[in-house]
Amino acid sequence: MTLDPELDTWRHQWQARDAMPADVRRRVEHDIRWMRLGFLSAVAVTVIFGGGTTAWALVSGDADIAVVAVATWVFIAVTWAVSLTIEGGLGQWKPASTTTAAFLEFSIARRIVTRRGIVAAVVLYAAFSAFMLAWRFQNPAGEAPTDVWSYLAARWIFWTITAFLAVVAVWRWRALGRELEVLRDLRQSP
Amino acid sequence: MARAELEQQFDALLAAHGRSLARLAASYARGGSERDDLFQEIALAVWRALPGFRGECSERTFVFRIAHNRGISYLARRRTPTVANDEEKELPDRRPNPEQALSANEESERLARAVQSLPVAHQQVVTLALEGLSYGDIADVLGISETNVGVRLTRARQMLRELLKRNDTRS
Repeated sequence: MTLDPELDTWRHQWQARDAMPADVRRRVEHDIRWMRLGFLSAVAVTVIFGGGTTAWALVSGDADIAVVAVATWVFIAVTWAVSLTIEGGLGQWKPASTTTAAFLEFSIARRIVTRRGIVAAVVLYAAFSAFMLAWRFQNPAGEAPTDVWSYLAARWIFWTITAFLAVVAVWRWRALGRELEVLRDLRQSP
Repeated sequence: MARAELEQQFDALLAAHGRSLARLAASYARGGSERDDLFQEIALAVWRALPGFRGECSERTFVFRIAHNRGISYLARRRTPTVANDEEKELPDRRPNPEQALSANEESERLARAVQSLPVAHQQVVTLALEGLSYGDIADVLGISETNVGVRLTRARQMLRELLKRNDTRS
């Protein structure tokens, strides 16, 4: 209790609202399961693509497939390295329970780094796709030889996926830009 | 920390501060479902941060910091502007009969809406003050000086008075 009647009245009114959502523990456990699933799916993608191409190379005994397997592992390794470097660049700091002012700085830094990560991902994807397209063009595997433009035009699944990923990347980039704007406004507030 | 111990500590924290956290969530989020989602996010963040909690600050400071930090993330994700202009600062008056006296519940809802319409920096200080934190504790949660807490709180109270008065005049 303070000697401030106005604040005491407001405090009393404020604390009269005491509704709390039910089943909090159950919902938190549900969220944790989903987070674990998210991490496991990243590992699963690594194992399936890396392991799959390696197994394919071993079974076929074909040198060209071995090149694809090596390229896939290089791509996976670079992806993980970029991802871990981004996280490492932010330090091992646990920001959740830090002061609000410090968290604001961390949130701004994280979004800047994530935007850089999107650029890195786009470059990686372009490099890996170019390699795979070139490799497939050189090794048609039963397909009739064709010119470059007809070959590229026939890869409609690849272009559809690429267009989808491009939309996602642009959407995420812009969303992060909006978030950065809000966070910088909050930092500048008196 | 063993899982059982963690669960016990988490339950104890929620029992002690859950209602305060729900009110802080309500000061950031708009509707009931958004408030519940934000509250759940806060609870999840508390759960994840709990193993690293070494008692560097009080438990209350620990959970309130997490709550405000999740609130900031929520505001950043939200698409609409965070700071209301003067037009938007008008408090909606949903009373069926203007002559009817305000019940305690209505007054408390009106205060909550007024707090929600404050600029974020002022809203943070005032919600912590309304939860009963001292200047020192508020400074510790937000990472600002006690002088700054005083300045923001004075301004926030002035704005709250104006908002509540404006609402009274309109009704």
